[in-house]
Amino acid sequence: MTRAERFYELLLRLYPAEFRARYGRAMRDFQRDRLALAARGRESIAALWVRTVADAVVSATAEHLRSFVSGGGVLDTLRQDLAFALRGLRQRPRFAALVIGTVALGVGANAAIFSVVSGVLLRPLPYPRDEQLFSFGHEPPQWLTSAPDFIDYKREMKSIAGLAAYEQRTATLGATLVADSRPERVGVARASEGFFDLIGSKPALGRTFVADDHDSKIARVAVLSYGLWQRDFAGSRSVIGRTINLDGVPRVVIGVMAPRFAYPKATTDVWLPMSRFNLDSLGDRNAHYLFMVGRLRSGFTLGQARAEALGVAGAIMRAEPSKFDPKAPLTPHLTSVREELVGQTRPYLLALLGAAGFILLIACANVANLLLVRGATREKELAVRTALGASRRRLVVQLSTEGAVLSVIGAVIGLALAIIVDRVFVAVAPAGVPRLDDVGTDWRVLSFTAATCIVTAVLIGVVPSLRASRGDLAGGLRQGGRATGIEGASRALRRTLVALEMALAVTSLSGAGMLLRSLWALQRQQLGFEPDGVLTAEIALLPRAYDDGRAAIFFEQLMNRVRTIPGVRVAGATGWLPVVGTGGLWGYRPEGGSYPDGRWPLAVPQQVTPDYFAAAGIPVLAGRDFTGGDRDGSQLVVIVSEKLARTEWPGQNAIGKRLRLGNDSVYLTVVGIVGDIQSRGFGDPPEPTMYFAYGQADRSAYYRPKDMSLVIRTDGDPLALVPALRREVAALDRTVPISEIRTLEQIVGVSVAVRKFSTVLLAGFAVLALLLAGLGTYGVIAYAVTLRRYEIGVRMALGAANRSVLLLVMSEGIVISAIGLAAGLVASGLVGRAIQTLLFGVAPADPASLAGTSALLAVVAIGASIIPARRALRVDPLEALRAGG
Amino acid sequence: MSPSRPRPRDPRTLLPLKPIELLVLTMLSAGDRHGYGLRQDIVEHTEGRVALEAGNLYRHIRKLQNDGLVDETEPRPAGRGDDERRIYYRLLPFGRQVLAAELERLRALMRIVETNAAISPRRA
Repeated sequence: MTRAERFYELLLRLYPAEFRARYGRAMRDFQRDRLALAARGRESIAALWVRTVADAVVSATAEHLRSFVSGGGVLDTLRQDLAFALRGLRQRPRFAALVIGTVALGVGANAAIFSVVSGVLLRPLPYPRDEQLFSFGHEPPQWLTSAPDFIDYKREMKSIAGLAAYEQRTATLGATLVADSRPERVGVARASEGFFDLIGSKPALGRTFVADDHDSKIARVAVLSYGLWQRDFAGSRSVIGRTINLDGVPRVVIGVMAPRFAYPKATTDVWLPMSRFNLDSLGDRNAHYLFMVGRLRSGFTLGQARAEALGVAGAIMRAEPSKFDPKAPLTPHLTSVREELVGQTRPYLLALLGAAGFILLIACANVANLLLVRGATREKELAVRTALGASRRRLVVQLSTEGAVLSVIGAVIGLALAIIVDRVFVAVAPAGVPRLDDVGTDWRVLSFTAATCIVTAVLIGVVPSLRASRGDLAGGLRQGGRATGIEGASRALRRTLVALEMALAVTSLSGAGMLLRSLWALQRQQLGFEPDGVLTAEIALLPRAYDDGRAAIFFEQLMNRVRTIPGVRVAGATGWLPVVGTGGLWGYRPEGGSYPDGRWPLAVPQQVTPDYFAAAGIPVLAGRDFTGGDRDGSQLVVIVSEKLARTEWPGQNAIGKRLRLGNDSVYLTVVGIVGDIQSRGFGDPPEPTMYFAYGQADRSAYYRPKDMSLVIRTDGDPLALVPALRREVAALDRTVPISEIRTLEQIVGVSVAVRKFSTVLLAGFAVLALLLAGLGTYGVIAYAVTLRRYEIGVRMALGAANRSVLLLVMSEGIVISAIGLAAGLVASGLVGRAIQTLLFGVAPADPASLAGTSALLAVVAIGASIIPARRALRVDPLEALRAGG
Repeated sequence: MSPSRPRPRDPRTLLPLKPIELLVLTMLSAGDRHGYGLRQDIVEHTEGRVALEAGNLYRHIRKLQNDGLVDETEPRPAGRGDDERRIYYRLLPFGRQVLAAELERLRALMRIVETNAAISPRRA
């Protein structure tokens, strides 16, 4: 053989064997002629071979595809089995619908929850290498960072590629492009140099800040969020270069961020450049007002950065020991940005995913059971096929194909269901669930569903088919197809499956029970204030238009006007609302107390108007509320919470005692003691709080806030008062924005919204699990009754009482359920421990939840057994004996 | 070799033919050919624009064979200048009907074009 021939042989190998066998010889001849006569056609040998190889590759590929599509061998068999399976399903539409419906339910629940998990937990954030980004703050009491700390961390830490600082606040955006736009409150982040570069985000339009923008002498600029741009500037590209008015200060828009850029918050609408830090006057180490965001250097972990930051913090404290209380050291707190965003939601989502997994397992067990039952009745068919020469392997493949067909159809329907369910989920989910925009059906969801589908196919197909094909098939033939041959073993398997279902249902139920009890325990907690029937709204005065005096007059007038609105019982105002407001902590020193500098006790500060306590429902325990008389020039007063009073003046009457906020400030006299409140919502211990009278807050409490939240206790529906409230504000000053209009109940609800939502979902899943398990029990008992017609007939013919027949039948279901219950209770203990972080006021093995679960299960088990048992009573002994002889 | 399908069948069910199928059938209508001979005839006729390689050609032949249009000839007696080892292909009667039907279809198209004088005839 020449080399050319040998090479051509290799090319021929590319073709399917069948094609090669038929045309190989002719093609060799063809090629020989081709080579011999190439010269005559003035064709170069190289070109000839290029064409030949190209032809061989294309033709051989086409041939393989063709033989794959038209089938043959394995594929032919598969096609046969598929057709067979589909025909089988068409012949038993009810059976098919039941099985497919069950699978769809199981797969659908999983796909739906997984797409939420995928969107919220797995999809990367819209920042490059987002796993390197971390937020950087301090443990309480500092929480935030001072400018000197920021400079030190940035300079000293080697494990980071960059560090940026920012401040967050809200500001009033003046009228914009949109027709009759009113002044509006927007979230503002003031960012230090390099903030956008560090996060790695490019603007959608224009530019972000450059070095000059951080120079306080240069023109003031702003970058807008995509949302604000769309909302207030109708997405017009001419926004670049336009001047907006922010808190009365003109700023030139230089850029618009991309749609998904949401750092530091989804509600941040404007970014401003922070002035460059002046290294000579960085300000106080104790002024913690900066947030920080960092990026890890490649190859470093968050743990390494944390350790390094701890070292830097130690050096800072050693350098200025007088500034730090050893009891409250400066402790860096580093969290990955993603963790910070979704960390609180994660355990709930994982619990939901676990519950959905249980549903799938139960669904599979149910379907496997149905197929087992059917396998038993199909023994004759299988026996005949074995007798005709089908191998066991062949039968297993065929039965598995049926399982696969069922699970694929079920999975497709389930996925469709999941897509609908997710739409609903996103629509009804509470505001506390982060990243809902990212929930959708992506490749992760599709692969997960495919994997679920495969697992389902294996679970529902392989078990019954192995079972059925292992049986004494010849026996099945001998008995003329009456399903008794392999009955014993198969029945044991079915009972085991149902017991397993029951165990899974018990586990989900008790898990949901524990979470429900936690929710109740939380909501039963005394908040310390009364949120029912209270309207709240934020009123923000422009600092430039309102000095302290004018602001005090404005709020006094406004409160007087609001009180006249029909339906208003009492109205006050506060600087920070509970739950949503965070006022930080201020140090204070009671008169005569011996606290060294920098180690003063801390309390939550609140600047409030008269009647705030009555409006919020906080009881005045001793002394008095603020009055209109607590103003500039009168005695400086303070009202303290019970906890503060008890800590500072235990066993004494706190009224008349004095405290001050700084060494140079004047003493404030305690005139009242009010009840403690859970200022962060359900589940948070009350913090010591000091309340300052708004009318003198500029002297008694550093400053008089210009943003105040109205708290209005009403007689009826709080939201019905909104138009009247708007009128009264506008009557005083048309340019003052009124925002964040909510009821206090809604605000309080926020703190438990995610928990409530996921608990309700979990409870739904648990009920579904129980129903499926009940259905499984019913199926097994009902089938047992069918099989035991003869036996029951004999017993009844021999005079067995109804009661004993009933017991005979029901005992099976009850025994199975009892075993399932026992196993489930053991598993519940494990689940309880797994969800321990989600529990509140409930032990991981909560007796009440377990008892409730057991009772519920008993009801379902009895219900599932009694229906077939009653049917057993209707067995006509004569007929049963005649048919079954 | 391949089992011929039961006939009669309507030749028009196979229309229109692919260009290469039409060429192969046309060349075979002039007499039996082996694979390389078919290639040469087609190259000549199309002035080199269609130069088939083995895989492509035999895939078309397989199709024509399966459809019962062509078949391999009986082994040839030596002598007549042919290589007796060669596999020759011949046009089956059904193939001839299909070819005729296809040419008739093309002729009808030609008539439309000529009636409307849509394309000016190219002078050779």
